Amino acid sequence: MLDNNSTKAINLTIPRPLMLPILLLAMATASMATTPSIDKKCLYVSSFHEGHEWSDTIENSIREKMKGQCELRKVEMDSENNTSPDEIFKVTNSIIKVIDDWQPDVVITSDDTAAKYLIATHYRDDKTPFVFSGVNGTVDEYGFPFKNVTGIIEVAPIKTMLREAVKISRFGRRAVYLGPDIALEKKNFSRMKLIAEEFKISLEPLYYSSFSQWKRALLKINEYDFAVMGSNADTKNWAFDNELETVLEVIKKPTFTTDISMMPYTAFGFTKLATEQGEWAAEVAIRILNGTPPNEIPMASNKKWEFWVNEDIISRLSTPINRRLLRKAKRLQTAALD
Amino acid sequence: MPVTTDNTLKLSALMGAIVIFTIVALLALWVSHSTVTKELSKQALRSTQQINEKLTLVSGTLHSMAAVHQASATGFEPTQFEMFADKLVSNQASITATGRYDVVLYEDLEHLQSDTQLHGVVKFQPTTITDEGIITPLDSKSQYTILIAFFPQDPVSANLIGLDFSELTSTQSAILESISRNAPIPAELPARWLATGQLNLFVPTYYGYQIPDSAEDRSLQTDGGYFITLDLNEIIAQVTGDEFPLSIGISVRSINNDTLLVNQGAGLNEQQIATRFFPSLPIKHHLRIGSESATVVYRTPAGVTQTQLLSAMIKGLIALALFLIGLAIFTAVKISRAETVANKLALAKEREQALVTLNSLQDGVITTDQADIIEFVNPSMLDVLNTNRAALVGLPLEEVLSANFTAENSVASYNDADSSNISSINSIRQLLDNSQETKFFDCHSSAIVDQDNNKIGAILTMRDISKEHALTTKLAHQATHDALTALPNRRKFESLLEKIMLQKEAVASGCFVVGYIDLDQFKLVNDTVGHAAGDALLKKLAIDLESLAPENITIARLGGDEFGFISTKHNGNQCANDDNTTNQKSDGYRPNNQSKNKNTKVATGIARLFHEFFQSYFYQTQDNTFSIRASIGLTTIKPDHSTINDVLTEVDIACYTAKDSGRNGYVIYDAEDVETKQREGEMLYLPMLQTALKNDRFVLYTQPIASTNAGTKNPFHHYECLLRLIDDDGEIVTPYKFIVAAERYDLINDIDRWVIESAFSQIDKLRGTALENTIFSINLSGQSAVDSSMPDFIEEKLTEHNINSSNICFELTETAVISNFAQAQKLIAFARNRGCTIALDDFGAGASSYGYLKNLEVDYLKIDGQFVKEMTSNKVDFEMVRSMNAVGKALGIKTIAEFVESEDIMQELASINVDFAQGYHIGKPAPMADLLDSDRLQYVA
Repeated sequence: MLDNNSTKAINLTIPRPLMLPILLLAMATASMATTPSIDKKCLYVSSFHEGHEWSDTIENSIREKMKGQCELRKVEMDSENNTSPDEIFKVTNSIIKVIDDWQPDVVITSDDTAAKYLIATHYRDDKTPFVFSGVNGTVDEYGFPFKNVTGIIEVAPIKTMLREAVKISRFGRRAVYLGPDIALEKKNFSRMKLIAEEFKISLEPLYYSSFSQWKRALLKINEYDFAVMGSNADTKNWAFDNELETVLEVIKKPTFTTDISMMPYTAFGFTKLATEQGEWAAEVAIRILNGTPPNEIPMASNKKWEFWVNEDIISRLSTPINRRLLRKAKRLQTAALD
Repeated sequence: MPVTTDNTLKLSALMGAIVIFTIVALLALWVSHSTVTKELSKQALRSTQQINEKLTLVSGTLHSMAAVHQASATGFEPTQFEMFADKLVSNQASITATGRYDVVLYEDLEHLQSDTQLHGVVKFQPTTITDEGIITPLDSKSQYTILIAFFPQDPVSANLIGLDFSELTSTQSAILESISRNAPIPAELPARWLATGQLNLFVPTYYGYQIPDSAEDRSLQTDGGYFITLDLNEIIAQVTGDEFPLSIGISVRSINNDTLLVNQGAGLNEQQIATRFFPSLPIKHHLRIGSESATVVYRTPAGVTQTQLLSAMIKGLIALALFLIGLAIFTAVKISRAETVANKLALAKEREQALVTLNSLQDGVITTDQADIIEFVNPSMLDVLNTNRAALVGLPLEEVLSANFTAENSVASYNDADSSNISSINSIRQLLDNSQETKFFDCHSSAIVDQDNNKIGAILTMRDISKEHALTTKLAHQATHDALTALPNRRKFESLLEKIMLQKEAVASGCFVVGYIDLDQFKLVNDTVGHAAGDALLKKLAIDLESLAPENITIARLGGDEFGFISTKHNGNQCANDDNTTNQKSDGYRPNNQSKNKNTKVATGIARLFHEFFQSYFYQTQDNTFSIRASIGLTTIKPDHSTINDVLTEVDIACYTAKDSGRNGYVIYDAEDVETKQREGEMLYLPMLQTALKNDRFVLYTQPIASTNAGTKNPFHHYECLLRLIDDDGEIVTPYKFIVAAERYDLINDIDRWVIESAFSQIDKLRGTALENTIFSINLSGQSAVDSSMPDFIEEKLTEHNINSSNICFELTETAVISNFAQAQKLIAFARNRGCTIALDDFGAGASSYGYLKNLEVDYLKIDGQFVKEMTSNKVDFEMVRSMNAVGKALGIKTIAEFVESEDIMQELASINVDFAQGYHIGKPAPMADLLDSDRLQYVA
């Protein structure tokens, strides 16, 4: 905090004529010691496409953190569009080709698609270092850790959410999980159900394949004590319409989610932070660029999460909500959704 | 040395002194200042680092409070805050207070109130506070930023709970800025805030568990924040302690840098003299407080600077003193050398000048050594002594003086109280040299003394004052002797009398006699043969009297035709002139001249001596032979006479009595004599008259004069103004008792003037009344009648009081007119020309010279009352009145009869055509003021 621009040079004892050369020398030395050469190459592989908020946030965090550390390139697997095995195969091969041709010093991936189809399939114990991020819940299915792979696992605050859900619903233990009918959601449900059992919550799945199915599924929420909203991944044509407005207005039971993108339709949110994923991955990548082998860097999981409320939906609930809880929660704002 | 050069030298010395003082003082100040500044700079740096550490700690603490809040599952916990704040304030003395503010929506307000109250927060309503510290409730609004917790909380600070910070511009700005920067921001709180003048740092908190990354999100998600009040003085005190040599000030400006939020510590605004010369101080350091900059300023305390200045001044003064001492020594040596040379030259010059002077002096000069042996005699002195220098040098001075001079009138003067130390002596000595004319010398002898006042010689100067001595002697004689007769004058006479009166025992012998000799009708000699003959008579008479008088009698001329004599010697109990005076007889002895004792015998003898002398003394001129007679008054000096006036008054009375008794006689004063008593009585009025004139103790009465045809009926058209005196007992005294004394002692003229002034001023007041045309007669004495200045006085008073002249009639007695006829005629002519009338008073009582009457132009003839009062019973008186009336009528003069005391007289007067009458029958004298009584006065339109 000391801003040493006093009228007296109060802490400088080095003769002024020598100050500039020493300063320049020190800066150069520091740069050599701590900063990788700018000719280092880093590749970022996104499982999604540009415009995917989660993935974009991770990318932005990585770019922010690694500014000046290496030349950063980005490739996308666009898993929401490349859903068939052929499409996945083709996009994976194209990325492998980039890696082979460009020879990046480190590859950073985000989310499960890249971890599964690229790292686990093609680069087990390879010479190319990989840093994964945003892998949901566990990496056991991918066989990590490899000698050349480390990263951060994306852990949703499911326990917190379910504990608060029981309190908010006045100790209701009958719950429903609404999720798209995809493998990832089923995996998420399975993991959540195990945790729910710890709280003696009866959690039933209700999968949907379209927006309209989802809206109908919403109408069943009032039959439970509360509902958990899965993601809207792979569900197309999502948008507010009059029907959705009407449906949301009749929901009287509290709803919970760990997916920030579902907050416009959910009363309470307990969400992870994409920035934490990106920042950790970047920190690890920098250490690898600086010479640390990936297997010497332990895998981590995220610690930060956020608590949201949607006041419009809460205002329509039949269950009275503890106001002190509400005073803690973040307000859902339009800006936060953009 | 020329004056200009001397002044230039002084100016140069002064300028040099100033320059040396200034240079030394500034050098001392510079050295002192630089040394102190270096040391102080080191201490300032250490101090700033310590302040920085403390501020960092405080800032970190504030961040910690926000972080704990952020991590809390329920946000703000009052109990948790209370414990945290308690530890914070008690462990960090610089933190005096802390608090929590919440952003609250209107719909949440009620819940917040009830919820916080459950946790020990006082019941509150949203309020705001003015700069004067007045807290007022707020109207409803959509969102508040409310103070919900304050530590330390007490009954006073509890009032602040509910305060809406968003209502206060400064706090709202700071809160928004703290959100924008997500950092502690200082803010100014209201002037009457609990901890005014201290630094308040605000840090925001947010909903949820994470701090939003963007400023926009932070603005949307803020749920309030915490603030800490920081006492910068306490930090300064902790850092500096008691021995710190600098005064420290910390200033923090508001976020927009236009308001000085805090200006803690001393000396920020001081202007030190030293810093004006050496602006290396103050030292300024900039610190970060939150995201703001604070300035720490160090100044040299006044004491340090003053000590430096004082030290520098002292060093400068020492240098100045050394310079001045050196300059003084140099100058003194230089002057001493110059003076030594100059003194030698001056001494030689002065010696030469002295010798020349002494040799050229007209006065004689002798100088002696310590033993009064003559060392030097100048030429003038040699001329006086008619000798040469060799004959005198080496002789004792006193020997020379006593051989040649006789001393007289020695006067000694001393330079101090020690009579033995005579510094100078003045004396007049007469030269003892029969071969020359008598010469007197004024001798002045002065002692010559050294620096210790020891006599080392003497100088005697002798100036020939023979001429002055002769002149002085002559003047002394003239002062005491009459120039005409060479007899002792009145001064000498009175001096001689005074000396005699001091000889009390001799006086008791009754041998000393004093007398006046007043020549009778001496005026006749002057008027007949002229004043020269008169003077010759006086000179001859003086010689003859001196020849006549025994040795023990001194004759003096006292003035005019008045001589005095005084017996001055006696032989024990035997008076010097007993034998030849006591048996002499004379018929000229007027009073009860039975000698009762020896005193009278002596006086009688002397009186007879002179009286008999005059019985056969004649003065013969070429054409006339005058028989010279004299009235002699004398008295014996007695022990009970305390002053010479006592003696001379008796002589005066005796002489006056002798004169009044028909002249050519002598009177020896006898206190028991009736006539003497009368004279004395008259004289007693003298002081009374003087007092009356001085204190306005006279009053005017008027007595009416009526026409014999009109009778006694008022109104009267003519009044006579009569003078009265009010004595010490308030009694009215008529003029018959005091007029003689007034005339004899020359007071009558002043009295007449008083009468004129008083009468005119009262007549002036009658203007416009029925008495406006009344005639008022005013008596003028003989002395006033012949007073040449009287016409001017009358003219002045007529004009001053604007008197109609026809109202005024002046009465003159026949005697007064005759005494100086010519002058009286002038007065009469003036009065008549001026329009006044003239009355001849008391006609018939004096000479009654119809010849005078014929030549006088008078308007009224007042027939003396002695003829009128008995005219009805005495045919002679009747005829006298008729005769005088007839003469008056023949001359065209109106007649007034006095003493008309009955109707019979009135009718008789009317029968013989006397015009007017005056007397008790007409009206008694009454105060003139009565005429002015407004009740009686009739005013005319």
